[in-house]
Amino acid sequence: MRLRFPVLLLLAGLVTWLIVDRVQAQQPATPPFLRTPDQIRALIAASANGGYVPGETLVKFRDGTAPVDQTRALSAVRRGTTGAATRWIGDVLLITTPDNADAPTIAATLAQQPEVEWAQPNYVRKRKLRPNDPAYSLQWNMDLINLPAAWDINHGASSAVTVALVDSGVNTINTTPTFPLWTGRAFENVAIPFRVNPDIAASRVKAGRDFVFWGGAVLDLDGHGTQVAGTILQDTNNNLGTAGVAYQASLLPLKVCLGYWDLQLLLGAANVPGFANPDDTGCPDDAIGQAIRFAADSGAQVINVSLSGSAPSPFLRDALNYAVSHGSFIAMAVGNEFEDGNPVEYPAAYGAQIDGAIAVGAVNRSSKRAPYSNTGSYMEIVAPGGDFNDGGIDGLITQVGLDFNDSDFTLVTKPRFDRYALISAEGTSVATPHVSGVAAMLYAQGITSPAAIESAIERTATDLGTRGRDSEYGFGLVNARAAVRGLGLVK
Amino acid sequence: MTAARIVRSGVLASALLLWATAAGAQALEVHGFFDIGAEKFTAADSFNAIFGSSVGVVFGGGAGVVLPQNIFIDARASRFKKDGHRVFVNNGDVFDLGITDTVTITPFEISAGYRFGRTRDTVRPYAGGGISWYKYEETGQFATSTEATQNTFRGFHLLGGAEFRVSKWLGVAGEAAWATVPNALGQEATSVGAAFNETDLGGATFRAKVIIGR
Repeated sequence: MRLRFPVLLLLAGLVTWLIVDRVQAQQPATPPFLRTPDQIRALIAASANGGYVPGETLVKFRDGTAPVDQTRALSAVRRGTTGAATRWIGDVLLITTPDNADAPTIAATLAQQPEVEWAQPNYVRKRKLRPNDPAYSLQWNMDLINLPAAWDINHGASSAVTVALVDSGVNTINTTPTFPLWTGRAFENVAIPFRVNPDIAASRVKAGRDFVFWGGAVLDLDGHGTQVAGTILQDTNNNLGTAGVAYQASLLPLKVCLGYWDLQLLLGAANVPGFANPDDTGCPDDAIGQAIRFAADSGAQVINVSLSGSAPSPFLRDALNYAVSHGSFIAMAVGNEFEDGNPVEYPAAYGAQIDGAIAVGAVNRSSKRAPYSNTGSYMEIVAPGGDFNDGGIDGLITQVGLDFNDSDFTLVTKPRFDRYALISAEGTSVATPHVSGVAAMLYAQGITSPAAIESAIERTATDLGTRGRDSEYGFGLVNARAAVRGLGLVK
Repeated sequence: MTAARIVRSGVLASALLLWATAAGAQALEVHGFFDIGAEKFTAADSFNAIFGSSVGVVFGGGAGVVLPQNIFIDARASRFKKDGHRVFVNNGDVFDLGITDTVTITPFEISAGYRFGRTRDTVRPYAGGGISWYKYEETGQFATSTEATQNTFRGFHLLGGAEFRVSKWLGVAGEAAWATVPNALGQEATSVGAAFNETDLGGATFRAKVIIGR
């Protein structure tokens, strides 16, 4: 085909005329219209996929812009607006193009026109799950790690994911056993009531095992385990108490710690008069190691160890390796002794050597390292641990827990463990369960290897402190949304 | 690709056209075409992870001119769109997160090259190369406006093929092309390209073309 050049120019001009938009600004009197079925479908698609309504752009002209100038401004859009519908919303023009033209490009082009004050795609806002738990407003920690946005993707793991809690236990049954108890002058048979946490569905709590106190059901005579369990998986959106991170996960409570009342009851059982020494409380390595192995053998995908001490323990190191090799991810607290010499704490220090076990430090509500939180080369991740110096009691981590007033040995001689209250605490102990909860969500999302779980948490963390990994914050603050959303092709 | 880039490309193409015309030609051979092809993406591991395959179907079309000196100038737009899943990758192991990820790639290419043989020949090989702008969109299930991405990456391409004349006004061609679009993947921490050390959005394509005109 041979054409002379002037003919080509003529054709080019014709084509240009055809593709130039001819959107005309409508008068504000244009009545509102309902979206067509196609537009509704587009809106639903946008809602499902996020972003903006395909083909829709909102334009605000500068005050006093004449209709002819509005039309000129709209003519700057060269693509996709031919045959566009328009609708005034107050003094803002909504342009709907029939071919779902690229709204961000149209908006960007329009925004550069002198007659236009601003232009934007018709964005679709995403709801973020805000739990209706009455005390959720106290849980700044959930927002700090971007949990509400993560819950939009992953609704708190699933009951198929089990988190083992290696701690002081939780109450797994409602019971009122009678124990011989020294009450100051003599032994008395004291009925001590226990009640399960009303803010954790009983169906999600497995029987567990007690490795230190007795062969009966797991009971918490300390409160530490109950507090930590709350952060991991307390019922959420149930109009009660507070929220938990992985609020659909199952809990395997493993009691490894002897609290003051455990000791006191053991003394009573042995007919030893007097009160226990609070300094004698603690969690022996043999129990911790057994519990970690038991958790792995029981199929727990996540193990939370909010315990630490300064003595190295090959026994615990081997237990960690055993559990990881059997498919369990482990989160461990780095300890609260920064202001007491900042010793290296175990088993957390082993975390840096084991892919699939992670050492967790604490930050306050300002995302600064909590003053008590240990530092060191083994630090891998931080999570909210609270800090009274940063916001007073509101700066602590709040969960529904055992009412400490009922078991404060400076106040009572006959404890009870059946009443729950909002308990606020700080420490790397309460930072660690955030990471365990996110790990449970990641398992539910499809990451089934402990090493991959650790990698996902670290790679998606919000970097804090010195750029890159550092001894204060490790890889940074756990970011639940980024972790569960994972990787795309480009972003 | 921004409007300014499109305008600049148009001006460049027009200038070439005018130069060629002023060089003595009084007429041009004009053609339009559409094509379908399969592209094997260079970032094979990344595409495999997201889509389960590193090969995708690409539709395209465009128009061009052939100068009397047998130099051709083509403008072509194409489109690749596919749904996959977001993933996590650790030490080469890919974990499917079950979150839909939709990628749309719309390359716009300006190519120039040489067409061998004479007009009346039935088979005319050709070869050339050019510059490309890849408009890239990625969104998906749960993506917010800040998480969805739109970007334009620039690349380069080489191509070669052979055109078979079916009639005076109709031809078909088989064409192979190779494109490189560097620094597109792996620039964000949330890009799977970073896990595989892959950055190139280009690939090798074989496509069949139907040509209307000469």
